Amino acid sequence: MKMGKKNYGAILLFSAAIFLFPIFTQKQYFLSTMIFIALNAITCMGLVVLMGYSGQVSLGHAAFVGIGAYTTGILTVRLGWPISVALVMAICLNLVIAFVVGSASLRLKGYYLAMATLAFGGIVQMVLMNWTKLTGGTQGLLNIPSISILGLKINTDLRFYYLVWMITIAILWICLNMFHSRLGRAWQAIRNSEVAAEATGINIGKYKVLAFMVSALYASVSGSLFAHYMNFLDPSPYTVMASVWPVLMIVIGGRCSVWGGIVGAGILSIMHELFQKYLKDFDTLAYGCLLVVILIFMNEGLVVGLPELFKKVYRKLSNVGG
Amino acid sequence: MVRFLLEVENLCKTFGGLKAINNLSFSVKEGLIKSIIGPNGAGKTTIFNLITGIYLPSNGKVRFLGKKILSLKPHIVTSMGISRTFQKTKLFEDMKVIENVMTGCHAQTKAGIFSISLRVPWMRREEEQIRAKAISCLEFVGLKDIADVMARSLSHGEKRLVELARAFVTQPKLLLLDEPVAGLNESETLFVADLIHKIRDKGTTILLIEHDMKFVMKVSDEVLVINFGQWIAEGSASEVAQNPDVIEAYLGKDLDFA
Repeated sequence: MKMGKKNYGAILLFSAAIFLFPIFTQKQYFLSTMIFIALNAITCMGLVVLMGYSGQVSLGHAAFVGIGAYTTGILTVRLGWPISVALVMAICLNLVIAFVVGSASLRLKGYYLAMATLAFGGIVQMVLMNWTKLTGGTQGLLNIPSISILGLKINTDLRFYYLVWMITIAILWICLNMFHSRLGRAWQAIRNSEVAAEATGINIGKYKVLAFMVSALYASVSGSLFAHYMNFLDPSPYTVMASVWPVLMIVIGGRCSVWGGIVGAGILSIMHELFQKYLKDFDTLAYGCLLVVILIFMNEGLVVGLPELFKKVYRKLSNVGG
Repeated sequence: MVRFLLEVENLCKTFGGLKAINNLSFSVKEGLIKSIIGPNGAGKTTIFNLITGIYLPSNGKVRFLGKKILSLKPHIVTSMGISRTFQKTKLFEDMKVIENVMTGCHAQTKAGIFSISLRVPWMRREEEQIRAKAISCLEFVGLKDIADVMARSLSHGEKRLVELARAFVTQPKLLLLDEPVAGLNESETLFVADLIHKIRDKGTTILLIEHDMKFVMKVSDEVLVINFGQWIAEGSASEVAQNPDVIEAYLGKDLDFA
């Protein structure tokens, strides 16, 4: 399929909005919220590639984020490696793990695949918690250095904001390119009918593992950036529950489009902040209600459901007017 | 000398204790349209699934252009030049018609993950080429106007044609059609018969399965009859229609009410 002017226009508009955002407010609270949205969005886009494009499931994605975060953290703190090298190492390690885990687990389907990935997530969490010599365990890993690019230290929220959003937009562009290519078509074909996909010459095993590796790569990038933003790591963000978050985000945002990943990450991150402030202990209930409403009324997510809703309302209004 | 495109030798396939295909041998001459007919459950679709690598055979050989293809993976068989359609259409329902047909070109395109990610110029050229190919193929089956429609919203007849386009877009050497006119009305059936002749004239050999006898008689250069996975008769359409074994397979033996 053609990339189309529509997508380029949307990317440009979106980039402009992101670029201009700090001009209106530089409150640390807003900037850091935006940074977390970007970090979540990167993971979510990877999950859209896996779940939305190719139709596979992963309930262990926090594991890849955690491996990415801890690999750069450990390499820079314990071994004093430069961040760029550590980042590449983290990606390589994640790709290898994704290849091994994916090759084994993607032979499974549906619930069984979900269980296998869930187990993988659990194992990684255990390792992060209990391999104290390496990870610091629940005490955490301290003094992770900040990123610096060409001598510029990315140690303020504003600088990190621009860095992380540039990476997010680059990944968005790459994901859209993938979607509108033979690769994206192969993934969608697998999601629709594995038998027919094979009959059109698609090596389904290869493309499933590839989708798994791509999504692990993005999760790794997100994790590494998080580590160097927080300058501190502990195993609590990599629980099994944390793997459900990105899944929830893309289901609400729209799992069949990378835009859905970004929208979902944005909405749920903001809600997380609001719910914590105003609902306190009832936040889980609110998420539950939100999910039920979305699944009933817009089961393809907001990016598909909202435009349809607007169209309907517009038609109603113009009928009344005419 | 006539060349055999596909040679099937002593093919066997058992499911549990059931012999679905039993020591079947036949061959398909290049440039012809050959039909496989037989009562329900005779094993026709099983033959297709064995040729295309979806099933592993219990025994036997299949050679395509002299090369053994039995028990190769489906996507490798496809990339060698064998395409197929399905008895119950299996379109990629969430994709547009044009994307369905472009997916048919998968094995003929090369762009790797890096050139795709960065959308390099030669990758874009390749995309344009297969897009043009897909459009002309859709024009060939008369569906150019609905190229941008989602596959799931098509009628049954249109779905059959899109599936045919998806299989034919690469101009395969051998096209396997599993009941191409099942569920189609008379005018649609005539249209498909015409298309199949045109496809043959473009140099693609066709092996098809069909229950619609009128259609089989009209399109086939050769007919193979099987029952219970075994060879019963082979020859031109009219020869086969008069063969007593074939009549028995379809209508049963004369009962002797003595």
